[in-house]
Amino acid sequence: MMDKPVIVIGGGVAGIQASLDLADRGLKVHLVEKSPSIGGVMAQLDKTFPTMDCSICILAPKMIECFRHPNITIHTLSQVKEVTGKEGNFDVKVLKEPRSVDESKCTGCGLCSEKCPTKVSDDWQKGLSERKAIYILFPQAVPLIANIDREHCLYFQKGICQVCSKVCPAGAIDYEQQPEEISLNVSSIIVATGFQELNPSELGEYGYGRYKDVITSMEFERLVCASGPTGGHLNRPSDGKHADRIAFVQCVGSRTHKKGYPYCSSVCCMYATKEAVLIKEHDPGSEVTIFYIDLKVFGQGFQQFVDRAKQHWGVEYVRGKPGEIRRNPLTKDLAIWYEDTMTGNVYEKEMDLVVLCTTMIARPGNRELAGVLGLKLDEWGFFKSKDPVRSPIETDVPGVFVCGCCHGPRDIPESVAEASATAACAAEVSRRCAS
Amino acid sequence: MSEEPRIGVFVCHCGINIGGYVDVPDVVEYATGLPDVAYAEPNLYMCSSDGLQKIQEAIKKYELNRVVVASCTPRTHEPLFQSACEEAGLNKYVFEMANIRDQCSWVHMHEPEKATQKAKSLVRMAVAKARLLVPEEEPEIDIRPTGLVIGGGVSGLTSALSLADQGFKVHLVEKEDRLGGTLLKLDTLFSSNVKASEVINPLIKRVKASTDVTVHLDSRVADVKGFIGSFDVGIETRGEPETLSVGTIIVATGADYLSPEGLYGYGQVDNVVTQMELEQLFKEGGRLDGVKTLVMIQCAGSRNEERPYCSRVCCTEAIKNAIKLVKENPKRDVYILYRDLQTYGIEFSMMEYDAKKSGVKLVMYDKERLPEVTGEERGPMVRVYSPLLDEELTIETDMVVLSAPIIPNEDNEALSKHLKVPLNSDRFFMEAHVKLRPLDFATDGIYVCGTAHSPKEVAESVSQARGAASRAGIPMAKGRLKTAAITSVVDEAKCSGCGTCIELCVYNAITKNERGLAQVTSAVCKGCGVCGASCPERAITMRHFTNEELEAQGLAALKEA
Amino acid sequence: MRYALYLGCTIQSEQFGYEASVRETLPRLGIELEDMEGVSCCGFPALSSVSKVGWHYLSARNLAIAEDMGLAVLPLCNGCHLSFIETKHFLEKDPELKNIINMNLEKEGLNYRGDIRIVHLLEALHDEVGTQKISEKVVKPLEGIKLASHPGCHAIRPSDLQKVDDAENPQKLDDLIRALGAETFDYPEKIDCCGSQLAVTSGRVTLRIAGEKLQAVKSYGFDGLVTTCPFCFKMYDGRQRAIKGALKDASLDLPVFYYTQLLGLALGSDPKSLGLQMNQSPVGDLVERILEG
Repeated sequence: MMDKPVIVIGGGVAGIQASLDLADRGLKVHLVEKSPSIGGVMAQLDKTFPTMDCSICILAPKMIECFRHPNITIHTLSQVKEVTGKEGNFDVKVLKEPRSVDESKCTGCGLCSEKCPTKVSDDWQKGLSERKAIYILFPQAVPLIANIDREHCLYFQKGICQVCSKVCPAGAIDYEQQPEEISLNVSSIIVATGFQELNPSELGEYGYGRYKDVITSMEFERLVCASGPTGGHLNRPSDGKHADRIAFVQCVGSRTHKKGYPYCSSVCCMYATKEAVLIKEHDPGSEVTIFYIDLKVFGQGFQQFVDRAKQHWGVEYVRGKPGEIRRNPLTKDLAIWYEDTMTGNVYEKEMDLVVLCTTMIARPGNRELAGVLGLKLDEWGFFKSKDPVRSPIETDVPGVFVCGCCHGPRDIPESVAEASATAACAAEVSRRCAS
Repeated sequence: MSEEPRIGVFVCHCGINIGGYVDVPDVVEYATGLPDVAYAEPNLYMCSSDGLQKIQEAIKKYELNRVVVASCTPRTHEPLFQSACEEAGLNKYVFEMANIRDQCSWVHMHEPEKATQKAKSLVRMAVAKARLLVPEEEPEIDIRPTGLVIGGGVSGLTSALSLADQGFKVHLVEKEDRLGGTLLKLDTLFSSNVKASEVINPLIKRVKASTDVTVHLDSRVADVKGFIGSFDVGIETRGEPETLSVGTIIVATGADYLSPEGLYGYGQVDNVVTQMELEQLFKEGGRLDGVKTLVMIQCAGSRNEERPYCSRVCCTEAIKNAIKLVKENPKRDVYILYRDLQTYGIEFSMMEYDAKKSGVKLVMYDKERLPEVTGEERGPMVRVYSPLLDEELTIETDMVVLSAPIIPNEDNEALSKHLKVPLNSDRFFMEAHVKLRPLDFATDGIYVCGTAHSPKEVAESVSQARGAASRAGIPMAKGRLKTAAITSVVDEAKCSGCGTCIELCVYNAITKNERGLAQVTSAVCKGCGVCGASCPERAITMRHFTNEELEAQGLAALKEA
Repeated sequence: MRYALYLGCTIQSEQFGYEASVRETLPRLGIELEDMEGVSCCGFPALSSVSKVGWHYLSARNLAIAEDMGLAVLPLCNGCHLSFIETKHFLEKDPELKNIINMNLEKEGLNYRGDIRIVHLLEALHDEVGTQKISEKVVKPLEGIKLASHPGCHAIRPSDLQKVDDAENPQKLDDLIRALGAETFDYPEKIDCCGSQLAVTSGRVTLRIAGEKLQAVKSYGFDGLVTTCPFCFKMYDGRQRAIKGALKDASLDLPVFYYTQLLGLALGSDPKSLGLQMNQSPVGDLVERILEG
């Protein structure tokens, strides 16, 4: 008797790893991803700490492996809407939103995007540049197939244009595509839906949203990435001038009982160090300062990475969370207003660019998915494990497992290890239910 | 293949990606004129089902025995074209790709003429290699469905149980006379304060009861032979040797903890203990009744020159113990002297607030001015300067608890040599890739989990242990592993036995045979070519990248179009 | 809209311009103000620093009077507003304290229920009247005039109790300034404290704190500073001469207004009815400029 497939919800690095582990051992996997491409947040990063690997370079081969693997079926623009049954025998209904492009015909040539007249703010590039109404999410997207954003497409909104279908050499545009419901019967479910970053507009003291040169760390990743909107040049958003003095503010929206969350987001001290080193690599003459509360260097190689950042690269670390980012209304220059807690003195330091290291928060979609799967959420909206010590990746529902940031902030190696662990759990279920 | 090469060249437009900048028809015409090219044709999308069909038709019609596709990147499309060739009856290794997109049209968009010239050069080079290509076989190896887990602590037990639940047999080798590892020495675990015994005992029970897991106590690994699928591991159980024949190996040997002799009065001043010793005192119960004041010192022996790493768990461990002490007796004064509080993530941050609410005093110190502990009549006295207070505190205390780091097991060196896997600069086991292969070693078939890899807490170890079991389960579930044909071959006639290749191979794929000469285990060889490049006698050649093929490509590159 | 108008001590004893301008302008926007009988000091900041019970008693007493009137209370002073908000909050959390206070209020025939609605002037003007309605009534727009917004600490902090405006990025006073046709923009020192709470203990420090802010405001090209608190106003306006002396900055001449004074000018009121003759900072030229249009 053939083993039933497993469903993996979420196509970030954790979902990809879980899918590959299962597929490699002979189990069939349905990888369900909400956006038009798998890859998740890791595909948007420039480099990863502490190895300074190019993020998409190490992720893309795994993405392609998923795509080509005979045992993995990728469902993009898809979400799990209904689940009934139990471990070994779940009936899952997946709703697939229409791409408006025939997946079997599109070759990803990009001509449609080129000719499309409608520009939309590009979320994937964190709003730093624009995309078209018909677009491919990013150059290494898997699948490399265009999709139409119906809310901004002139044809769907006003019944005009249709340029894309006129220029598509493969005749792949299909305006008539409807949402599709797919019914699957699986033995277990792996949740790997990842996280979201906090929007710091609410934290008025930092001026995010008012001051263009105050950006979030994800925006910074896109800014400094060679495939980003400025081709990797650290040009400040306000006037395009090169940023020479950069500040990183840690714990924005975390470790606080005021606006934000009380927990520690785990990875920000390290990614700030990574981003600081990135800047220094590009331009050793730049002044980079990281403002922190406690430096989280608990992982393997982390302390050594920070030591190198300090001693070799000259990144400055100030123990003192800035009270305010101030902007001179005439010159538009930014200044950081902070106390160096080691000396007790208050300083005002001019900056060209301020990067806010915002906290990882739970995705709002978790609520709906928890309802569908019968899972509990903690008070911050993250999925709850069955037992935080003994069963960190199992949930209260047998046959449903969680891995990666969907159950709390953690870094890539942890997410990947957990993903493999959920694959083991799913394999155990398979064997248990087959016999 | 001694027949004459009949090469087919297929040049792709790739929509406008290539065709918009490179004159594809011109390249096709050029290719047709190259010696040994029997046929050349363009296509809009070579990778489309239509394009693949055309290749297959051409192979049959023109009796092609080598195929060159000039298109995008082999990274994404080589397997696709190889499959197409196989379906048409050719061996996949007579296929060669020329990347005229990423390496040509995409980077020379503003110079179409030069791009076309370069495309022609790339095609000429691919053809030069294709001429010399020969079919290769991909040997299959059997994978024994038995796993070896080295280490019977919480990680090892978890791995073993997962493997058994996946349907494999497991040998569990433990050097002590009982299972359980470090958890036997702990009282409670964070973050839920569950008793360590409640976590470890059920695992021990299940393993003992399992008919699929064979436990070897008082047992150590003596030597390891073989490769993935067929490891022969020699163990010694109370001096008695035995060989275990397994398919995969999981290293779950855990770690040690530092006894910081001489540090902060440890071993010299009374009532200066480590967190591990405090756990023991908790377990015994009643031993701390007289303790009213207690000072914990973090980073005692870590984050310094000698041991630069952070031991990850000590801050939360200290907080857990501090909360316990204060909840037991709210009149207690408990201080934690720290440098950076490593209470990461959700649960540990919440514990930090709990500690503060319970009245635990967190005092920050700087590594430039360490605390001092002296032995006084009443008990130890601690002097600490806190930059945040700009004050030196003098604390007369009943007990000082040092949060000393987790350190690598002293057996790591020996085991790493047996398994031929590396240790990192901190002397813990080093994984294949920090980010994307955290549980694998570079050597196929061997995996690592738990504190053997680096300090971590129980939940993290458990996740890693199950993850390692998943990784180990993959080859065992498949039963057979097809190994790539791109491996190195040693010409014994030329080999001088110098051993350079053996030292350089990170996959441990080369060994010395009975004649003292290098021998490649194809099953483990990854085809990286380092051996071939470094052999002083030029005795090693790479299949599908032979010296002749590479030289032919090089010469072809230098020719004029 | 009807409110019980609570003036507090400082306005009644010396800040006549504030009271005058409020009585002159608010009715023109449709707000009816009813005076409160028998009210006392709110207890903040002097009594609150020595007796918690005494402080909350005084504030609760005033709130009880407003409750009896069946109206929401409109305290004009930032400090009184904070005092009322805190009292309401603490008495909600501490029923025992509320009991003790009510036992004493009973002697006067008063009872504090705790359902009083406390409205800050900024809330009344910005949220309840609205900037649209205000700009519609403006007859003398303050065109070309740049005014610095100074909401003052006790209008916006502490942020978990005060919901008048965002504590880190307050914009309501700015919106109200713009409603008059004037220009305003953010400046770094906007939510910096005026320092008046320190005046009793560290006089020189407060002069420096206040003075540096005025200098900064002037350096950005503002024509004047606007506030809604008598303490802030007293510091920036009443003590401007002392500030100039302390900073040795003879040219620091910055006009300082209560918002309602400018509101009055924009609505076409007579400057005398707005108490502008009592402003000690040099407002004359700017008032003339506004009147000339």
